Amino acid sequence: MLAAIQNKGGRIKPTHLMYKANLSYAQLKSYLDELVEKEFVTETANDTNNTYIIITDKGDKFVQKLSEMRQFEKSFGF
Amino acid sequence: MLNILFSPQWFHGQDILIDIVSVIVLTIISIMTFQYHRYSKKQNQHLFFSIATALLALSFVFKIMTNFTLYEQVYRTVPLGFLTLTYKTVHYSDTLFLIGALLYRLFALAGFYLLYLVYAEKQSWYLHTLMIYFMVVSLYFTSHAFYIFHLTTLLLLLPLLWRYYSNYRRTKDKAGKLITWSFALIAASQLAFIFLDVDDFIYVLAEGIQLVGYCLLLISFILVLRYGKKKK
Repeated sequence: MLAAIQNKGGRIKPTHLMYKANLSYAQLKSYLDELVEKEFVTETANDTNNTYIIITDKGDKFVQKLSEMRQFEKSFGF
Repeated sequence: MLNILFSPQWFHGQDILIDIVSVIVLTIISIMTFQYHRYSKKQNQHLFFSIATALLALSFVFKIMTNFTLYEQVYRTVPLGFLTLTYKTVHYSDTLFLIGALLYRLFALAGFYLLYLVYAEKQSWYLHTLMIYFMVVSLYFTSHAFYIFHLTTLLLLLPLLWRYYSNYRRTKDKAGKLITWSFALIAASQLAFIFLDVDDFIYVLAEGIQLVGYCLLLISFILVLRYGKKKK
């Protein structure tokens, strides 16, 4: 989910995220609550009342570290 | 009695710098892999890798301390008739050397064994006990024959080297290729260390190979971080 938000420039609509991450509405809600609680994303509404999910610096760093870790695992043959 | 000094006189102190480089490289890798462990606590591989590299860094710290005690320069005065001659000399401290060398070898063997365990298939407790027993035995004999330690280290490094080579052949990863080369060089340095008493130059050669090996390991780790950052 975080990677999907990051790929969209750090900002995505919940419905788009649902399709991008291939999740049901219930799953999206559950995961999103967890991500908000961990301060990886925030939910904001713009002037036209459209809700957006925005990745935070903490979330950005988390995805970054995860990507580094995957490359480390690949290179070191984990 | 131990053969204490293998290094040629002009190389005294240079090997300390080489070992400092190894400590820095291993510490960076240890800290970074510990961070990865925090991100995926389910996998103990990262934690073991981090502890193994920390143990290896610590072993080099003891080696440096040992070399410092070896190369301690002291001023000695000798009465020569009515004259007193004062001269600078290298003082060898046997006791400190023995303790330092033992700790260096203990931590190095533990580090390489743990690194081997990161990749080894699950083994029975008996095999682990047997391995630890052989490591203790090799530590005991190493005080009489230094090459036993380097031979044991080489034997621990060979399966690691094979693992990294197989991984590179499978993934064709550039960083993986450098990792294979760095471990090949570290293994080659251990091979050279076995023949230390043949000639002084072998020590310089072994330390040089070790330096290149750890520098390559640092470069490959930097590549891993760079490739990781690119995959946004």
